[in-house]
Amino acid sequence: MLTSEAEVLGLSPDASSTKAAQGLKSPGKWPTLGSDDAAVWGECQGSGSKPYQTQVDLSGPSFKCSCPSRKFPCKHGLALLLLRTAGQVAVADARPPWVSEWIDSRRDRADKKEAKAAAVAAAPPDPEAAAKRESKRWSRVEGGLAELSLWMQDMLRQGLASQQLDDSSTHQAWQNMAARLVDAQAPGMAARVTQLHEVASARDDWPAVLLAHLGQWQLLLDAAARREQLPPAMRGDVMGALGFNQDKAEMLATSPAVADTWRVLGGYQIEGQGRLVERRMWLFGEQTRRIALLQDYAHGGRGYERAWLVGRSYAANLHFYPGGAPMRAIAADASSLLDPQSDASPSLLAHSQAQRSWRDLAERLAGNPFQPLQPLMLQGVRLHRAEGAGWQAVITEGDDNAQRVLQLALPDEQAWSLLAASGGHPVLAMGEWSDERWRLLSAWDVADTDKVQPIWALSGEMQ
Amino acid sequence: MNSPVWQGLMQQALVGTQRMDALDDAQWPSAVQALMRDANATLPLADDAHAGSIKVLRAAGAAALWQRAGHVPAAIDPPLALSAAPDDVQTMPSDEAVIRALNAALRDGPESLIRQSWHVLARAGMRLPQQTLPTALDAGARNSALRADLLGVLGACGLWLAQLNPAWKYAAGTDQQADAEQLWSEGSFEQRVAVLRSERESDPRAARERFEAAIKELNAKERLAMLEVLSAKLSMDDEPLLERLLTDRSGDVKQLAAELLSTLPESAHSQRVIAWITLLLKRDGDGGNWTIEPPEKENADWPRDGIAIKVNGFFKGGERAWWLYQLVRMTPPAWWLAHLGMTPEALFVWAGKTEWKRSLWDGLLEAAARAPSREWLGLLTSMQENRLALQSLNSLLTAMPLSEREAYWSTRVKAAPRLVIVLIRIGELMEPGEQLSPQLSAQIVAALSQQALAADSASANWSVRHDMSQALASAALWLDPAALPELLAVIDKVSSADANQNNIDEQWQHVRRIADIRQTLARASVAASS
Repeated sequence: MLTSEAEVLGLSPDASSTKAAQGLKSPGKWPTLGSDDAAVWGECQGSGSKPYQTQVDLSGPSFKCSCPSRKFPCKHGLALLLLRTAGQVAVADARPPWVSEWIDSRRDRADKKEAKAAAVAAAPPDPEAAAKRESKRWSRVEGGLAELSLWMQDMLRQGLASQQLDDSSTHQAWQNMAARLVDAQAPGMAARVTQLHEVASARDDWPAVLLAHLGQWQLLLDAAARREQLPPAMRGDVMGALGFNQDKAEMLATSPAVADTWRVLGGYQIEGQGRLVERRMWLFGEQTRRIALLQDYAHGGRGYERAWLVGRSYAANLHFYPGGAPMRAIAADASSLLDPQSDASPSLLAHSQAQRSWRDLAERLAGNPFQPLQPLMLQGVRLHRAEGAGWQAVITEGDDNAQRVLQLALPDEQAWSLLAASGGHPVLAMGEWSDERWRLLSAWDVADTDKVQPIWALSGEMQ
Repeated sequence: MNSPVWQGLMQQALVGTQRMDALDDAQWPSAVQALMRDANATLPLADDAHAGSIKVLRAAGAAALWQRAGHVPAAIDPPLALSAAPDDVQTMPSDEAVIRALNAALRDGPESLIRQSWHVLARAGMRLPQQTLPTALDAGARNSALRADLLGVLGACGLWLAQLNPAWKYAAGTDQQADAEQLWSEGSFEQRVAVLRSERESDPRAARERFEAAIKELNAKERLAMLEVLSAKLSMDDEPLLERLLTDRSGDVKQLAAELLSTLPESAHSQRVIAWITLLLKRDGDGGNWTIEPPEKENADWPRDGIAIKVNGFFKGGERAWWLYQLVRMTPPAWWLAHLGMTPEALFVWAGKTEWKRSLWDGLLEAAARAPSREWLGLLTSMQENRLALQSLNSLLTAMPLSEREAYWSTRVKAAPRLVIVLIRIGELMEPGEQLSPQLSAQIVAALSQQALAADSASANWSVRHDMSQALASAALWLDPAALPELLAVIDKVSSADANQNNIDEQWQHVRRIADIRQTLARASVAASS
């Protein structure tokens, strides 16, 4: 249940919505306000003659508002929840019709969804038809991959030194390649092309980054070519990497639920092309000691139905995508936020010992070599700003207190805020590791091992 | 990525396989050689032209994966000496709402609210939450008016942080808890000024001597700022130092020294200026009317006493008017009253009838601003439309103790035809550490609910409405926090009846936000004192 202002604002699609919502949280702006156990609603006077009807289904929470905003949730929905959090919405005896209609229709839809999942579980879709669909898709994907392969070979023939990554015609060529892969129904591969151009063009060591990725793409192409011989898990990883999407209802029905107390380690939102926003949340299972990656996409300023609050724990059933080192998962609808706890998290501490962390990472890579992004947790981390080299993490480890250094991918202002929060003392840090850069997502105070609490989390315009 | 295997691949990849084809895998570990041979044997290779490229890519893919899986962070030798913030004596606020209010003040301003929030915190013996430090230090870097108050709430952690970022160097002094001597010798400039200011308060002579001893090492800007500190508790004891500063290298310092001397009627400087002015005054017959004529020509001694010979570009008037204006502004205002035997009101009436009204009025008002005297209060209050008069009135009120100032405001609230203007004036004069008394606060809220507000809020005139929102913001900023709920009730009543509500919604919100922040902050001070 959302009980604090910070949790409500965690749902906000951007900073301007947050600010606008703050400005609407006075009861005087709401001629009607009401709530019950399951929903909260109100009418807010906007610029038009008719007030906007705003309603929130608290089970999600899910939002609906009659205002014309394309943001989701809109400022009215956020403000309504803020008012409720501040105890300024009274409990009503009855819902107005416009609220009960919506809530009922949602219940109907949820029932239908459940029925569909049950149907999928009871009767898997016709395997022959599915195989036929899949092979049709593969023939298109293969066409795209063949073009990609030729393009890569050309690059290698001419030499990477001739690549002018910041040149606009080169940029165009990379974009064209990505577009062709989208057309060929391999959106995962297309995203790799786009991202590599972005990452490499910003790096001094771009030829090495380029070669390392092109090499790993070749392995992916080789694996795709001999997919019939691969074990099912690896085949799943290859298809996942290329962008074969699994139907969500099917996933929920076929992948077993992993029930645990999931602690949110950190998260990140990144805006891609066409205002498509990707959100990644990293969770850690207290009992299963598994790391889960929840990946959502939202379009055009729309937010997410559910907030995952860094440092907090959720009782949730996660369904993992199958693979050699399953990490990506989706959460069943009935996940609930637990009260803040200050438990010892011994497993979290164990998994952030340097030796253990690097071994975990190597094992995950061995299980699925096609996952470019890896979670990394380390203890004894301190921040250091090296002249001309940007921000680095200095890790003190071992009996001899040897120092080791990792290059960080951390915006300047975020680094200062982390440094302020830690006061220069060693922290447990969690982040994403890719291309020998560590994108820090959260930092935890472990001075008192009975009370491992986050002291900093990456925040941005999008959060 | 600097193994020989990788280096070899890199070289080939950079040059291109059409020019450098031979893939020499002899130096690779045998397991890797076997793996690559197997791969290239079982997997399809493209036509001959591209076979070499694919081989390079496969090898690079394998090598990159090994590197990723076997990554070991580089060791630093010798180890870096990383510092950590020293332990803090001041605690951080633990109340979430207080932290939110501090952040909201910092984010949404105005400047006086930011400073006020830091004052409340400092009075409660607390420091800023660590997460807030970067934003606060950035704000101080942009706006130097915030710096003095910021120093009180940075805490040891904030000072430590400031040392690490060149942009925050202004705050990188020594521990605020250190004694005055240490702060003076090791502190930031702001800290040194703060030491001087507090010493001037308790021991004016010691502060003067401290400044005098430091003059040589200070640059012009610093000398000026410290001399401004000495303007408090000025006495004839300071005259010798000020006389010497009349020959300072910096024009601004010279000018300020002359202005300070002009507030000491007994000073040699004042006597010299009075002598020049006296020559210009004549009396018609015996006990008749006074007349004044500007100097006919310049005097080479003037510049030393802070009187410029060349007409300043902003001055509207001729050379002689300029000289007169400057002599008047350097003359102690009390001298006029004594010499002409007039009240300030009579003096202004007389000056207004002369041909040189503008030079006389402007000069007198500026002089009165520097040497505030209660005798001028009535006159200045009646002349508020005049910018210089308002300035003088403000400096006079600033010099009064808060209780006396409140008594004055109380009469103004009763008498004022435009309550909003009084509120704006009050806001201009309050210091971040102050707030209005419960009595005056109640009087203002009562007056607001009765008059002015309703009429003003209904006005379609933009400037009237602007004044009103400024006045309400000022009230929200400076009223006793206990009076704020009632102020908000008044605002709610008026805003709900307001036909133009949507147009100025932002303004009502602004006032409410300020009141919210102040009410929450008041909890911090209560918590600290209990």
